[in-house]
Amino acid sequence: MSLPIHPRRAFLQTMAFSAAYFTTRGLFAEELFQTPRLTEGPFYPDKLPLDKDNDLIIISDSTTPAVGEITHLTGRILDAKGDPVRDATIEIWQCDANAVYLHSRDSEPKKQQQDKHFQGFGRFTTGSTGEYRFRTIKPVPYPGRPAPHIHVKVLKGDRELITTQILMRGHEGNARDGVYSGVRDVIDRELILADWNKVPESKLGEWSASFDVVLGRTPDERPR
Amino acid sequence: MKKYLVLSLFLLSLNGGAFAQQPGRPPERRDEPRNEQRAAGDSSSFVNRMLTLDKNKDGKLSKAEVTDARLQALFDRADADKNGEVTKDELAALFQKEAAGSNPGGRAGMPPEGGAGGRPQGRGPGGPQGGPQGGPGAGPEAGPGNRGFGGPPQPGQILPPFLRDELKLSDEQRKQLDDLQKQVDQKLSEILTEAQRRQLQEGR
Repeated sequence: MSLPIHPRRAFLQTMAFSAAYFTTRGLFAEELFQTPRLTEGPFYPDKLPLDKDNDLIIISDSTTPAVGEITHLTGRILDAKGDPVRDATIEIWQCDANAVYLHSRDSEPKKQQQDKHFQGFGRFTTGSTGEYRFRTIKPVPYPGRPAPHIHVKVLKGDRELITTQILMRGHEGNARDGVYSGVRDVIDRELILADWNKVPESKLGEWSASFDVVLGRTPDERPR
Repeated sequence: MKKYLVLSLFLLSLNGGAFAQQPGRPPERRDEPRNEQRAAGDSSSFVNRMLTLDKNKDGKLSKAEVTDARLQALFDRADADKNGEVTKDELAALFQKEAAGSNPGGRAGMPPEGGAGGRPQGRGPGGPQGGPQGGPGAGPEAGPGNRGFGGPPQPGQILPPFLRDELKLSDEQRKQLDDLQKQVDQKLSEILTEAQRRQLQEGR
């Protein structure tokens, strides 16, 4: 009489399957919301600067700092479960305080306007904590882009994991901004905003901003 | 007889198995591209997405459940009565307030600027292959603009469906409101030119 055994086993297996399933489902529920992807825009530097470090205020050994309000931009690169991603490279780029990008198509016609002391682009590779740190300027509006923003790209090796932008929470230009408005989901809008806070007792009037990048479960792995 | 018993046991356990499996079916979202769903941007998908954080499944969010620091500001805005809990209704109300394209402090229902591109954001590789950016009148960096937004309120709409429900309008009131809406629509279309009407339709 082996018949009764099999159904029983099948039943137990089903139960086991369900239990495992519920556990997994719990994991899904605890996932962080993924940082929305945003357009790269036309001005990822066409020629990267010689100095690509994470201090965009000072180029190499220059003694003249960039024009603009200094911002300490920090954050973490996390996977969907909230674990830090190490050895991820985060790149940022933004226009200078006079609204000129480090891209020949923008800087050539605006030679007079350009702040030659702003690095315009920076790079940082995360350690085991997934943290990154940049010193840059508080972003300013750009013609056609009323929302000040910092462009972000995260890579692992030479695989691109995400391209997005950091916008300033509460900035009046956001509502008029095409990229911001293009994000229809109320939650997603939240996930591309960072607070700019005054650094207490900073004589230079520095700012700090924090922005975590949460990668998807199956990151888009696109060779460059 | 014994055979029957065994057989019925067999069937029973099969049945039980089937039932046990029922809730175990993969949720739809698993197979659907998540971004696709987000693009729909209706109130219920927003509420449901937020409620994935509802760990104790009581149908509302407590501050402790929203552990993601990035969502604190959203939580505080949603918590209209400031009791430290956000209900489905409060979430839906927040969606109504913000999904129209305004940000906090912004103007509700303002049509967005930018080109007529309308390429959906937040999906696909945001790569440099995006082609020409912006549209007529926008700067070179202007993002793909969108005409109008997925969610209500629509321009010219007196009371969006959400508010109708909120106010618990009677059938008679609904009918009257529909009539009033018809009049408004008619008057509005008399005021607007053909091109403006089309533009407004696109915005809806």
